[in-house]
Amino acid sequence: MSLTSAPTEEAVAGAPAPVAPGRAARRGPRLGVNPRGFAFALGLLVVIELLTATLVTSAYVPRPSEVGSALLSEIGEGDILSGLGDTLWAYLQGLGIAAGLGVILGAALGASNVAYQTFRVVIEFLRPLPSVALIPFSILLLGVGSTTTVAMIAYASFWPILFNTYYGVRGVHATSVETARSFGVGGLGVFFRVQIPSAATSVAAGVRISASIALILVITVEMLTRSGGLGHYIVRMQVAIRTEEMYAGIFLVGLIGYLISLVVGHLERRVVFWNVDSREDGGR
Amino acid sequence: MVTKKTRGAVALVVAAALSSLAACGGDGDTVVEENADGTTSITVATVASDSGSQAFYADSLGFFEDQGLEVTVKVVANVPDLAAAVESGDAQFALTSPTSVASASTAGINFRIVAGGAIYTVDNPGVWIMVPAGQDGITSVDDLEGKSIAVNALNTMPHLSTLATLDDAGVDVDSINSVTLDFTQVGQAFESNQVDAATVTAPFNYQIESDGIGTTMLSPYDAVNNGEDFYNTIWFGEQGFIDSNPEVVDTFRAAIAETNAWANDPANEDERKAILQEVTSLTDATMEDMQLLLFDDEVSPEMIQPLMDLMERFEVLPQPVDAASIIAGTD
Amino acid sequence: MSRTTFVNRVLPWILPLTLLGLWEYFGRVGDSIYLPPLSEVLTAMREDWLFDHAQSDLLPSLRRFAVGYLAGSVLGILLGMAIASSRRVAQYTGPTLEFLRALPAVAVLPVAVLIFGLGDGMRISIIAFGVLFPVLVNTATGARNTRQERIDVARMYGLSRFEIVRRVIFPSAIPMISAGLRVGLPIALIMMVVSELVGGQNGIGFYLTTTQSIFDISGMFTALIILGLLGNIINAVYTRLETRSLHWASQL
Repeated sequence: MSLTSAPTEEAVAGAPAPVAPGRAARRGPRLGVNPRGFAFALGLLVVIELLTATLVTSAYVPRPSEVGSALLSEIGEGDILSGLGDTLWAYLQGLGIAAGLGVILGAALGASNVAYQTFRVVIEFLRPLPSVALIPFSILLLGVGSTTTVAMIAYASFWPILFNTYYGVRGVHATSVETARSFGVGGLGVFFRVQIPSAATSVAAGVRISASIALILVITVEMLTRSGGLGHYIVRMQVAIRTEEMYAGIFLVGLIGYLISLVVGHLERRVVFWNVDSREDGGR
Repeated sequence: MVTKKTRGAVALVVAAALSSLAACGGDGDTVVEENADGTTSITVATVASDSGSQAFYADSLGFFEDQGLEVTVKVVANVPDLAAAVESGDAQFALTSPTSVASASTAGINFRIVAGGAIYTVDNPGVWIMVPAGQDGITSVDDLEGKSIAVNALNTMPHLSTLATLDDAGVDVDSINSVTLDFTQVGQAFESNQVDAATVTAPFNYQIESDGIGTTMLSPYDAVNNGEDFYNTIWFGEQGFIDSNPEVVDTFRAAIAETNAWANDPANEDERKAILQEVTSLTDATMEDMQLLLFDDEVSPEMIQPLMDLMERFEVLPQPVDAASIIAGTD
Repeated sequence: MSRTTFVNRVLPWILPLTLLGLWEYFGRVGDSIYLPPLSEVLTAMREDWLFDHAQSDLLPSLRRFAVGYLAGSVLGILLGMAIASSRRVAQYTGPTLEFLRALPAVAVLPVAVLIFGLGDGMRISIIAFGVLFPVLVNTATGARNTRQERIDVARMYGLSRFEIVRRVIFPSAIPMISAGLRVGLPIALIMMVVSELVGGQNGIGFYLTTTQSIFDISGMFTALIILGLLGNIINAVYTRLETRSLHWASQL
């Protein structure tokens, strides 16, 4: 019901950050060094270190230096990294499934109002259901283990991609479609050669949003189901009351999040380079 | 054109999912086939703690193999997940508290207890009521009237036994504010004085004591069966499966019995702790402090019924449960 | 009835009704405890949620949702504007924010307990944490996309830096901010449930775990249905507010 009323805004919702034209594109961080950013992060760590050394003296709040040495020794022993492969593999699978399904369905819904109206209510109903509440059903259907993790990741990261594709495809200029038609391109041809490419910016932004949702989900589900991976490591350390190691695991998650955002941002700029100019007018 | 096909396809997928959900369970009477080498492959689900550690010992010391069982041990987080794993046939046996099997039974799920797990004994209860250090006002159970007490989840054994302890001491149970709090967060809550007491299992009590954050008052489990033994955890399976695979159940029981004999033997304490540490990643210091739980394999109604009675006493069950009715082979 | 009316008014309800019908059918045919017939779930819904749990669980959840969502949104807009209006702030805080953004609520929980204790404050902070980032990212993007000419003109008229942010950059970022606020809605709802799953005394998430652990599957479905309905209602309310305030904003 709500989706119909404000398509333009949602279409913009799809396109945060670096793909934006002109000034913003130049401003986007270059892949790699940002000395100020690291200085800030380092300063923050020092502040926390001082705080935890003086004011906040809790047995449950380790100092950053303790977490750091725990991280190093755990990496040395290989314990913390052994689950990392599983986590990343589940992450890629879940995100891949979400991207595949999200783009296909989103494009179908965007191309046909009948299709959109058919699924509208069901989609709006399913979207706010938290994956974590669906875990028992997933275990029932898919069993305990990585399949459930992948399914939950796919479920949660599906929605942004679906909606961004939908609005991307819908937001394509009517003139572009008309032009293609007048050149004798058929319905499916227009769909694949005009609508899909033009929607790429929006789709890419959706994938970027989902890339961070998927990471959150993979860790959450691993923590809640204890099905291996980095999330299981974190919860195992929590239960074993090894707080330093637990925060080392959490730190690693944040680090991976940072790296993923760098990689995805970089990929996005490369993949949808053609759209930067074509959307100079705001893309609406 | 896209529409009709897509709609059809989606409806098909949804129908398939629904029907497989509908098909899950009920028909758990699938027979587990023997492998070519005469062994039988099954999966068991358990929790990574001392009270759920039997499967890890059996797995690493070969007690399952001795009985011709090829067992995959899966670690599962909580009761709904365990139940879903067994209900769907993903796991044949799983470890939980007898109270969960009773709840399932009143909900119409036919789980049956097949083998024993960890037991309570007076000298080795495994669960304690603790109070934060420096709380001078609270020295006995009577002082807990009107206080907030942390328990890991409502209507579980730690919660109900705590209520029973208070009730027996003449404390008005309705005055108690039961706060659900994961065991892992009790220490933190003690430090900042957010609760007045907490019911805690091992190894968290050792940690809290050694850090000087809290002190142990007593075990609430003393009130469950007047200090007599009862089952803390048990192994359960789906009735359909149990009925159609009696020999799998027998071999599993035999393997668990063999495990218990080994694990209860004080001579094996060091080896047992090593395996437990491998699974739980507990620190050396905690391992040292830890008193290991005892296991038992004879599942008698007498060692289950007190828990059912406790659930009934605090009106947790919609109807009374007879312990014998949820133990395999006694109903 | 014209074709368009049919497509827009009737068609959306065909699939949901079909699915509900299938649910009832399979619930009756199958004997799985995990798929109770729809009618049973609806009975449980009437018994549990009319008045009883609506007051004890739904209201506290909604209150936390509202406060957490507002706090996260305001913080997100403020931080986003700060980041967008100063290149330096953006560079300094960028990596730290990307780092924080990746942290799952479950992992942040111990820290939240430490700072806010066990009460609603902790849960609200978790919800705000989840809403903060989508709002922040959209705000910053929207603000950065302000046309340079407009800023230059404002500067020529001698407006201070703060005035430019308030009167030029902020208004032109409103559509993007609004989109971010909408993205934040389902996230806040999910965070609300997650924060109640882990240690709690009331709320929809708490109800959900309780019903799961005592195998009250019908009860569990009612919680899911309520969440789905809530998602729809909140979204619809937001759309109305958005249309109005955008109209207002465009006249600034």
